[in-house]
Amino acid sequence: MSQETDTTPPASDVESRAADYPGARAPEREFFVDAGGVEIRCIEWGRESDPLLLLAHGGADFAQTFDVLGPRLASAGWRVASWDHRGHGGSGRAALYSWDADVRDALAVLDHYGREAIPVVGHSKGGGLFSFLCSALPERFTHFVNIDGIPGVDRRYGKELTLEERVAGRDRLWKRWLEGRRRSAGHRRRPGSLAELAERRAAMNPRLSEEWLRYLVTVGATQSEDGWRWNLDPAIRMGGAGPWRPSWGLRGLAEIEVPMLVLLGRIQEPMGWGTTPEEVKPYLPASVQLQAYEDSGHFVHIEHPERAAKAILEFLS
Amino acid sequence: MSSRIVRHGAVRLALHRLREGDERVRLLLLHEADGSAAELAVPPWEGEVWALDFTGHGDSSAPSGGGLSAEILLSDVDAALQEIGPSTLWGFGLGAYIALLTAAAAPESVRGVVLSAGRGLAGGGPEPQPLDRSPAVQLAALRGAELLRAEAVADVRPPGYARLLVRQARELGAGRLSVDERLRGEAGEIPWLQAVIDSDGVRCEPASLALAEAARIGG
Repeated sequence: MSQETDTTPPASDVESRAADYPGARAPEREFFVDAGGVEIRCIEWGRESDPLLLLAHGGADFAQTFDVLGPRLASAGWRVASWDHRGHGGSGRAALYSWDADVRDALAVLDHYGREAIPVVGHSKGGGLFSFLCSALPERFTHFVNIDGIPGVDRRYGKELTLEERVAGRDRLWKRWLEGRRRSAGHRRRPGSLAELAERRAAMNPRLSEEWLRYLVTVGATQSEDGWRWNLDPAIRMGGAGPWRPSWGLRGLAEIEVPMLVLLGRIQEPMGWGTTPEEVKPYLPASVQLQAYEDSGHFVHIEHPERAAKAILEFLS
Repeated sequence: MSSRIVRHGAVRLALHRLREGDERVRLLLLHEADGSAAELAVPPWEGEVWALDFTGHGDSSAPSGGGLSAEILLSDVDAALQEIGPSTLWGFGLGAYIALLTAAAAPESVRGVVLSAGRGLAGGGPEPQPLDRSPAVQLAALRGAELLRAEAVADVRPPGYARLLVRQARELGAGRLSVDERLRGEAGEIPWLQAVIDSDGVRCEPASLALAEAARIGG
């Protein structure tokens, strides 16, 4: 068959078409902020003259996870901005990763926009980052929306594990940590077709549609000759291995003076904390607005973008 | 002295052989905060003596962007032990705490541990700082090696965690655990160190004796 008569589209076109998602819109602007030597990719939707609203994504996720929520908020009159965490998406790969480094990267992005207080929205780890910063630097924020980003009360220690159980658990944790560090030199993510990457992700996000996960591949992975690879540095080790415990993540929450809206998904899934409103309420400020979504998992803003956008906009108004 | 570079992720670690000797009786020295292997004296020891420059210190590379933690430093030591083989660890200050972490996390590579005095012993204290004074925010103006060195001593070191590390090191066979007796006076100010001294099976003795015993047992 000659090229002129072959009507089969190239595989890449097929995959791009399969990745359309209702309501999703790519950001209108992209630029980079230097965070102490690591290039942080920032994106924006909406008019530059509108007031700023900064969004932070979760771990193993991307700024363009907000491709549905971001444009909705922008159409209501906000200049919506977000950034890829170090080692994620289009941001630079760092030699080292830590919570503190992520906090400082967030500060670099905040500083890029000046010192005026702004409203912020964070999902999962992004909610944790902004919880931390709203406690540490309350003068930088006017409003804070936390989408399923509050760590659960530490159930393991709550059960009073024996020392033997803790030693055994810690041993497994260390082994995983050191094996991961040993592998990190030159390690590349496993390639696959767009459908395969979406399928792998579905194991972590079982409630999200195949259509969305395919879309996420097109904005969070890169295609090369041997297939797609997630734009996530394999050197990132989720969870770490130090003395940190979830209760440390609850510190300071009750003292947050920045007006705060919390959106919690009631349905537990692998990527979230599974935090319930009942257990977390004692750790939150009395003035907090808390909305629990009975019919949502960890990604409230993807499962229910209209409701989430409406709640955020009402809170900000 | 001979030196080699160990690739560890994106970091190039400098590992120095300070003295040749019996490879079966190997000692690895871990320096204090703001220090380097070059500042360490070669101790009396029958076998090989090595010293590691932590990430951001000495001849090791100092990547930009920060992100250093006690667990990363532990993995530095693990990379060195993977290169040279199981060793007795003698740590000073910061290096003492990292030696204890290594004994718990990679006990199969550790033949014994001696903890001695030096800068960076206390780290960031026994519990997290109030968030407005946390190192995540306080160190934001620092860059490069200066940031890494500040991060190296900013980690939280709870005493209960230290007890768990001792228990793990002992049960998983990391060898003899000794604290230099000269540290006894400092332990009252450093809860993790006091917890180690108070733990079953930890000896508080002169470092020279601890080293002699470690060498006798087999490095």
